Amino acid sequence: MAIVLELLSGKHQTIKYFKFDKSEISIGRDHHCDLRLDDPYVCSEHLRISQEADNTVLKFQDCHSVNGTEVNGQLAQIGQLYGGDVLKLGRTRLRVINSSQAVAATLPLSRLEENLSWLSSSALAIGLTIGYLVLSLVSSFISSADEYRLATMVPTEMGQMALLSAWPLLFAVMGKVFNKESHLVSQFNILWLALFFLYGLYLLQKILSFNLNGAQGLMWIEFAVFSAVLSAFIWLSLFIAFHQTNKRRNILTCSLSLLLLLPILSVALLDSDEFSPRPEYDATLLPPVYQILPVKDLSAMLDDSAELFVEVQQQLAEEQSAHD
Amino acid sequence: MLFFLALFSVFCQGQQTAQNLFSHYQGALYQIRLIELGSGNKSSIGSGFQIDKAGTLVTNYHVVSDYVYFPEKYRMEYLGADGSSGELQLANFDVINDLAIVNKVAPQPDADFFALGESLPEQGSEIYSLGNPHDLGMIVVPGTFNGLKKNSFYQRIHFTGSINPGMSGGPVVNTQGQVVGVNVATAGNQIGFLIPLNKLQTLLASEDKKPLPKEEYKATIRLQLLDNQQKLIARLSEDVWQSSVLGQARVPAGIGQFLSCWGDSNSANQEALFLSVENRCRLDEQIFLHNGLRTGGLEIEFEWLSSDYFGQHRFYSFYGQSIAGAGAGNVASKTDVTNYQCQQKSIINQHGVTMKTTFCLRAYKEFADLYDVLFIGATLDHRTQGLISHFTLAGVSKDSALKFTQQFMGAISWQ
Repeated sequence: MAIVLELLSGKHQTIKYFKFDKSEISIGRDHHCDLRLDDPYVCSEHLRISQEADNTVLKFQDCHSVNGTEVNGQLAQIGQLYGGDVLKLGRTRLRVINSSQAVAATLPLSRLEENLSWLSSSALAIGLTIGYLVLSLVSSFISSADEYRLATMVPTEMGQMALLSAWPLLFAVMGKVFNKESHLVSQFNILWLALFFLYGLYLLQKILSFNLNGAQGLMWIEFAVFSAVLSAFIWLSLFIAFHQTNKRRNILTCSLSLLLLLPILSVALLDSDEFSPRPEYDATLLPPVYQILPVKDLSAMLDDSAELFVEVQQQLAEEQSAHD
Repeated sequence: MLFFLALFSVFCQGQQTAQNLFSHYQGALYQIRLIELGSGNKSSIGSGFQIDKAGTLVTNYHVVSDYVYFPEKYRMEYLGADGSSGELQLANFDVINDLAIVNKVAPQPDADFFALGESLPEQGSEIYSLGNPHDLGMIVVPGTFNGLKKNSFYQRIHFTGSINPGMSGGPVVNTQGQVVGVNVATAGNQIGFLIPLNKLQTLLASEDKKPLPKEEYKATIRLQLLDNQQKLIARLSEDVWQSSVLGQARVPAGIGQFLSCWGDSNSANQEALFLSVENRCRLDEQIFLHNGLRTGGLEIEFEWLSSDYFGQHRFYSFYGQSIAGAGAGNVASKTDVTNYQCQQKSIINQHGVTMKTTFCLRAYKEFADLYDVLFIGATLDHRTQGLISHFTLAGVSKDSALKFTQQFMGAISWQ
């Protein structure tokens, strides 16, 4: 059996790890001490920790130090130590480790991580960033009806991209803090890839909605696909930033996605009942080449319109019976 | 000199007539008040006039519309020039021509009354509008009869003279003091509109002396609306629809002589990257049902859009923005109508015009079989040109709506 201690940072992150194959150790500033601490608030011989030969219980004794010893925040002269206890000597924190306790299970090395190594390519990141800028400029050009000034649009679009960058930066910072690796390039790459993918879906949705004339179910399919893409994006961001179990990552993905999707969903569900003097309809118009489904003739349209009268009347009857 | 004397005497005569009329007939003029039962205060006022010995008064429908809608919440009263007052009972009304007939519950046998004229006066004759504007007391406004308003489906007399809001329901009389119309609306400076005599005569003739029971008010409104919309759509569809050129399209124009139309274009705007030429027509009058509900209106709009600067994708994006956000042509609230429901289709008409159509409907909650219709069509036959066709119909039946839609869509063609 050995005495095992961890030197902790101010935020209780492990900085250094010490293992002593002795039954008794001394801690202090003196050069003779087993664990030498370079802390001016620690006495030359501050604390002794001993271990009985037959059990795992550790005992400690403060050597009449000037600033005393705190165990889990409580000043103590003498006593017992258990795994996980935090000692404070001067400004230094040490965590006691129960060396007989098993460590956490090994995380399986993910194949996916190997397969995603191409995401860390800086050349790709530069390409995607420029590509996304071009895409947003083209998109804003197409939707503008006034004279298009590139000189004013470039800063606007770049500003929006800077706002979007908050997401990968946040994950990169968290990755750096918790795992000492930021993976900033990968985070940016998946952001731009997700946005490209969403833009493609948006175009597809426009073509579908133009051909299917804003069919009712389409909105829910759209929402489901959008949710799936968003969840996948969050999952990947987490995957790249942190080493965590799949279960924990899935739970985090679900809760983050819900947090972002619930407001959208509640808005869609809430305002459906409001009275409005304006009808809700799909105003998407696309050039004739996108008209894929065959067009109907006038009489078919009038027949469908006649059906709409029946539907409106039915809904009114339902409303009135619910009211009575 | 003789001429000036003659002119002066005419002027004096005019003055005298007005004074005579006022002194002679002020006993037959009344203020009509609606008293809200909960608070006991008057909630609205208008004018009215007696037309027979039995105590029959004529006023505007819109003066008593709150009572028609909520008979259990209001009571109607008259107030005479001599301070006499009493309760009124609703006998009949005509929402289309904004007329109502009310009876004194306790008629005074010796009260003055106006005689109805035989016919409308000659164009240019002096007529006098009587009423009670702003709750100030009875006044006489002299004016000129300028014939029936041209191009109107809902017939009105064009009157030059100022009718003020509280004068609604007051009589308009000729120099003999005979009623030739009823005040209804003002169109601004010195232009007023009156309900012509014949509408009042028709309503009086249809009345079988028994007052309408309260439960039948809504049903009566419904029947009047159904009958009116049927006449309106029939007149529209009987008309030969001429066509006029708008961009590369031919669109219906001069539908029904009673629509007022105007055009607009942005060709003067040097900075615009597209050309927009508009052609709008509508019925000037709507039917007032109550404060939050008008109906009986019709709007037709065509807009030709084309651009030499835009590519097809940019043009169609702009084109789509141009058809977004259309709204109802008439005022209506949640208690009156349902929300719109729409149906969208890409169709091709008999002239080979392909268009994306949006057909929206909302039903009247209290008047079964009546709907507001909104239609938008956008042609899909050109790369950077398009025609938007749009109409709204307020208060029409299913048959009328479909008939009009069919005729409207069939009237659009390419040059």
